[in-house]
Amino acid sequence: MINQGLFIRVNNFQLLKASLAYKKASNILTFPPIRTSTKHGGGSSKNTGDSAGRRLGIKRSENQFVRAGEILIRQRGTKFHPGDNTGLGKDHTIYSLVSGYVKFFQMDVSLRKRRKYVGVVFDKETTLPRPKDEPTIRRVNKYITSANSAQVS
Amino acid sequence: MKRVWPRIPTISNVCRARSIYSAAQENAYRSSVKLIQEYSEKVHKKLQAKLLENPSETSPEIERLQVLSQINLPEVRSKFHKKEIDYTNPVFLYMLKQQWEDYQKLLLLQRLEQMKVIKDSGIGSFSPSVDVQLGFNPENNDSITPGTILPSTVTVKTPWLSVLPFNCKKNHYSVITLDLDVPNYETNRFETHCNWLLTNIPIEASKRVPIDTSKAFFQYRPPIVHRGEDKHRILTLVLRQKSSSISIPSNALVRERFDLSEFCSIYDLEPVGAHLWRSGWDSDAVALLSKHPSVHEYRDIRVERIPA
Repeated sequence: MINQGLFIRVNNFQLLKASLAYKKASNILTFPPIRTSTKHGGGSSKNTGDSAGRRLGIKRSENQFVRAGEILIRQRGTKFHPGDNTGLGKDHTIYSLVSGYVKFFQMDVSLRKRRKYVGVVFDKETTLPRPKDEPTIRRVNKYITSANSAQVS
Repeated sequence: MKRVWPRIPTISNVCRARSIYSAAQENAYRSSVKLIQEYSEKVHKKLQAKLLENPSETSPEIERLQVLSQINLPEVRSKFHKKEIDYTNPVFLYMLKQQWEDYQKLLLLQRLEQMKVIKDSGIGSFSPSVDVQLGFNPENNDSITPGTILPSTVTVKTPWLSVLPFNCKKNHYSVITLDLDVPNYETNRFETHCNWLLTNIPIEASKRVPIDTSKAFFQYRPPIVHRGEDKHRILTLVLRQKSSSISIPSNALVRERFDLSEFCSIYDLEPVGAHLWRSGWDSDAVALLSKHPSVHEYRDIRVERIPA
């Protein structure tokens, strides 16, 4: 009943024209053709890292004269441990604390563990490691710059 | 109106649960105390028998039995916990020694080894067996931790020294204070100087007073550190004398270039206790050292490092 009411009121020609336009539009909609590959594509690799060398290693050799502050070994971790008169830096760099001659030596730290050390001695004839009960070999390496008047009490 | 849930008292539940076990705890405590007392009485009987065999003999076995007969009793533990220590009783001395070996001895040995004091002083091997407490303020008895860096306003005074041997015997001791880091700029080496030397000091555990420092062979001299020098290690050694009295001629020893191993071998001394502090230069050193009576010919010098 309702549909018939609508049909009667609206012009028949306009409805027919709209229906035909819709059919033509649906026929126009087509998809573009699919392009297939005609050549081999290149792959991608993951092993692409190659960083610069870090210049690690032993910088001063045995019995070489060094001054205070010179770097003896650059390493990652403690392959070498600091011995006498040497210090260990933040990145495990071993440097000399005094002027002297470089010595490499090994010591047992436990029953089955042996460590490599690098130390600095003041004379070339001194060998490392020193005996345990021997006093430490030290040098003052300072001089008097100014002396005020001697006060005798 | 917002709904309020009723609060369940959980603490009372815990208390009620605890009260279930309190009887068992009480029974366990009584059983353990009874067991301890039985063991104590058994050891006491053994001790009495051994004392009847040899009266007035002090041997390690008798001391061990004395300690074993009392060490686990609750009243002894309670007194030790409340610091009511009877220094004539071997049990309290034994517990004090255990407490000292747990921390103070380890700390002292760590400082001596890390700062290479045992190597540089020439003792050889050192195993401390007496507790040495050292301080500079006679008003309070705050002792100084070994290895502390002290200013010259503190070290210019004579320190007090308290020695506690952990046995009931009475021995005579010598006290020596060495400066291990005196530089010699002519030879470019370091020397050892003697700052203080006391001899023939009777020390026993029951007398808890600082030792008498008036009759000293060498009067106390504060460490002399010049501007630019590194810190000096000041070592105080307590040496046990084999004999009760040693006599040193007044010209036999000098302060400079003191040889400790020779001194110990000549007068038959054994190092049993040690203490260590460090001194550096500060701005008060010049004024204080130039007026000190024990310091002769103080030279105010400045020292710089040779460029390497």
